[in-house]
Amino acid sequence: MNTNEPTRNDQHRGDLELVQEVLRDSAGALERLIERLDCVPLILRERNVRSGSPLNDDELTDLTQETLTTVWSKLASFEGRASLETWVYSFCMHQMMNALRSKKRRPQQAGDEALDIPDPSARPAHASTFQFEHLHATLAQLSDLQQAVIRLRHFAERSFEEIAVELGLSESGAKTTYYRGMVRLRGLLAPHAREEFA
Amino acid sequence: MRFNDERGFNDEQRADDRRGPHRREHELLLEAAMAGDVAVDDPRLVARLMQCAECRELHEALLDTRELVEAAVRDERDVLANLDRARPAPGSERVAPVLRALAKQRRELQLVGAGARDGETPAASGGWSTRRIAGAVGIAASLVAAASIAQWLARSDDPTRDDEVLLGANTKSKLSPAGPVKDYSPLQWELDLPPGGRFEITVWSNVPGEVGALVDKIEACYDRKVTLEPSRTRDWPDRIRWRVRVFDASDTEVDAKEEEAERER
Repeated sequence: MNTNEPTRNDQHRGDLELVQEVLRDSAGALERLIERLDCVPLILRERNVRSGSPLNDDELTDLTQETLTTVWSKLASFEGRASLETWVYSFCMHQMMNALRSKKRRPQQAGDEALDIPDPSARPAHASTFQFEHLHATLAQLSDLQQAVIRLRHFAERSFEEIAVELGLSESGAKTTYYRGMVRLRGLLAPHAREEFA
Repeated sequence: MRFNDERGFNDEQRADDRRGPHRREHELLLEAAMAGDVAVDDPRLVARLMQCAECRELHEALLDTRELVEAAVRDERDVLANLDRARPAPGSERVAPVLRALAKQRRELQLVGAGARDGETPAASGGWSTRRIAGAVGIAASLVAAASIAQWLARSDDPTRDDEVLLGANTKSKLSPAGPVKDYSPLQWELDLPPGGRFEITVWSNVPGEVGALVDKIEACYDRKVTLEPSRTRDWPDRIRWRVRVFDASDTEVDAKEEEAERER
């Protein structure tokens, strides 16, 4: 192992410092943030392609701007628990879901078959990418603590011991929060709880 | 009321307990299974899943959910690892101008706040952007929202008000301004607001050559009308496209309507 390589926590700490410098209006920080947030339109384009390209270029441009203003408004809440790109990714997914719902409400044009969203309760083997957008949007409905535990457990691959230390919980408390969060997540993902696909 | 009783149970756990003495014990076993403390082939777990249909159903559902989360994680990593930074995407050209304008707006609002605190009038600055972006933490937006909250609360107390909201079925959504107008303000619409929800207003330029450029944004308002100061709309372009989005209490968009307007000079 190359001991000179930055650890995962070092990289995230660097991201946290960058965000804090931007919020302090430190010289040069904004331009570095711009370079990093260049990922937003790229993520949205990639998600759009994987979803069958339901959004056109103008809609993607609008969505980029929407997502950037949302990310900016939440910048102070970035805690460096994940990389900036991973943190931003969840906003992209949430905004994408809103854009898809919005477009689905409008009269559908020919070629809008990509908006035919399949059964969201389908087993994961048949999961469509819309389910990923929906999952991210639904995760945001959990309590802050439940969200944090689930994201650290799965997206950051932390042990419950590490999660407990990071969030100031006991290890058993972290496990209970995880369990209750997953129960709630399942309940929110169930078809009867989601009117828009009725 | 005691939070934890002699067994260490809190209110929620006591509620579980009232459903049956074995209920909490079942949940603890499932919780241990989800945490990886009990193996999937552990005889206790196998026996419980065979004996209790509710446990079996919940356990399967939780495994499905976990599998979905894991699939989403793999998908995310795949997307982030394969971003083609060499090929600009739609909206790439907007990243820098939007963020610079948001940062500038934030500095200007902080200057206004500091001036108010010190009792001084902020110096008029040629740096005020001709394409203002109200942005996320705009003080102006907060003031508009605060004024609107009182009106919304008053309306929500009205017993004759019909609170039923047909999600996505707003047929009366007339937006104003629309078409040729003398002034853009006030912005008005006839969409319904779900309890705990918010309206969000976004304005883009519709001038050829800069179509789609973000002009202004109000993150949250709670009334169907927004009156903006002339100093705010004065620098808006002569042709705009604007949108009202409706969000419910869970911040999920439930409706959106757009309109175009042109200001007559």
